[in-house]
Amino acid sequence: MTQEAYLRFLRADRNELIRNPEAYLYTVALNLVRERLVLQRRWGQTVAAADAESEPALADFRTPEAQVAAAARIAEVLELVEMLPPKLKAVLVLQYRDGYTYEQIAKRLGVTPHAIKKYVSQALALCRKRLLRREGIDR
Amino acid sequence: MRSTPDQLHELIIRQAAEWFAAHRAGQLSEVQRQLFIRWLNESPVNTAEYLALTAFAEDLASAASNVTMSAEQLIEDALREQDVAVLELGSIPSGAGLQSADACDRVGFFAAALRRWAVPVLAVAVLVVAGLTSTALPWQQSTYSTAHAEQRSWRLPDGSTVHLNSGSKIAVSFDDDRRDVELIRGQAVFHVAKDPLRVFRVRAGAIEATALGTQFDVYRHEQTTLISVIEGRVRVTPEAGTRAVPHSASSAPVEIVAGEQVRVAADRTVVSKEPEDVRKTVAWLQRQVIFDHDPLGEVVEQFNRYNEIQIRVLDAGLRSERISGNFSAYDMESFTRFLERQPELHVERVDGAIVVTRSGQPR
Repeated sequence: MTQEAYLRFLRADRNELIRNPEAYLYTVALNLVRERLVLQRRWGQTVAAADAESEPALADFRTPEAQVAAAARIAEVLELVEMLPPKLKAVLVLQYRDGYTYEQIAKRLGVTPHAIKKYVSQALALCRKRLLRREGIDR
Repeated sequence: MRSTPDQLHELIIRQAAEWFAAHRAGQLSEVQRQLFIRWLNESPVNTAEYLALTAFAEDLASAASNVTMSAEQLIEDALREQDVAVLELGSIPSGAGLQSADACDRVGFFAAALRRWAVPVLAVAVLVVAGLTSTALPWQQSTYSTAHAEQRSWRLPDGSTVHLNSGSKIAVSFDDDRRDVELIRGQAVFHVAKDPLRVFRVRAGAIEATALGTQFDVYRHEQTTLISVIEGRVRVTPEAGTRAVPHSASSAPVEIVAGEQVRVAADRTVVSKEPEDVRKTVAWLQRQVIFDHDPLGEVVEQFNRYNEIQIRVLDAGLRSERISGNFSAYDMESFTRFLERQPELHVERVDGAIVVTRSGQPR
């Protein structure tokens, strides 16, 4: 799927792309997921009850199997977060659980927001690397 | 067989995370946006990793809500980490017994090696990252040394300060992920500039010290190494598996704080919680030699470190006699006069040396 997202991305409308590349990438990816799900429905696969009220989000398309998989994934991510060194852990949890901005975290830890940005990227990269390594072992 | 992401992928993981964090630090500049697009377009692997990281961040939001520690506790731990220095016995840190800060450091170490490897292949990608971080220091290595009877201080490229005692030598190699110092001989006090992303490591023979913002003295003797903490905190952990008796009581981790000192020998680790011991060990910083009921032999050795004129005490019994005093390390004259005033000592100046014997004894 990412291969497809990438190809579409390369064909992208340059203006839209340049204005907000990250959002544009998500849009491309999200559209692909939706198309996939429409195809899946046509083929009669089980689909979890979607929330008809709101704009369908990715999570709403999840099958029960996918939800079980998501719970396992989240448990694994929690484990990775708990394994982080104290500073990297604090930076991620304060941001993702408590909604702190980089500036707020920086103030509490007595460092610059630039340093917080570095911690965040370091923490994310460490988690991703460990996650892929685990997947490599499981495989 | 342990399968790991290949080295190129590790670099991409790092770049994706840097871009991801940059997007959340505020509006990207026009130039940064262009660079980001170029990076995404460079390879489907880049795009894939960025999307995977985005999905990961979504899971992270759910996972983080299950972390039980309070915000205050998290902050307290994070601040405490800054004051922790980790000492490792053994020349190469292994996974066992390493503290988190060091684990973090090993990632940096790996990334540095990876970056050097990847430079020719990924020049464009590396430029992108360099444009974002712009704090990379050129790789630097140099040595600093003092002659006998000389003391000097230097400011290192990262802003840390090193004071070298007489007859000491260090080799320094810094790059944008590491600050490695080797104490080749002698004694040094390090006043470490805070930089949480680049740990400051001092290796002294079998001992490795990893500092994260602290001030400490490392004194390398032939058989033992003495670490004295002036500020901050130090944890001494014998490296697992490198000892004849890996699980003996002597190899248990020891944590010492400012005012404490640890003496590490091949077979044991002795902690002193006497602030006076630290004061004596680092007195050389003020160019002082302090002794308090210490053996004459040891006191004389201290003076001999700092002075061209050497004092000789040949009588073993006399060498173990205890004396007390406080002198400037370079004021051999005052110390010699002090010795002359001791009724039980006889002091004689011979050919650029000072010979001390028991009074009333034939020389």
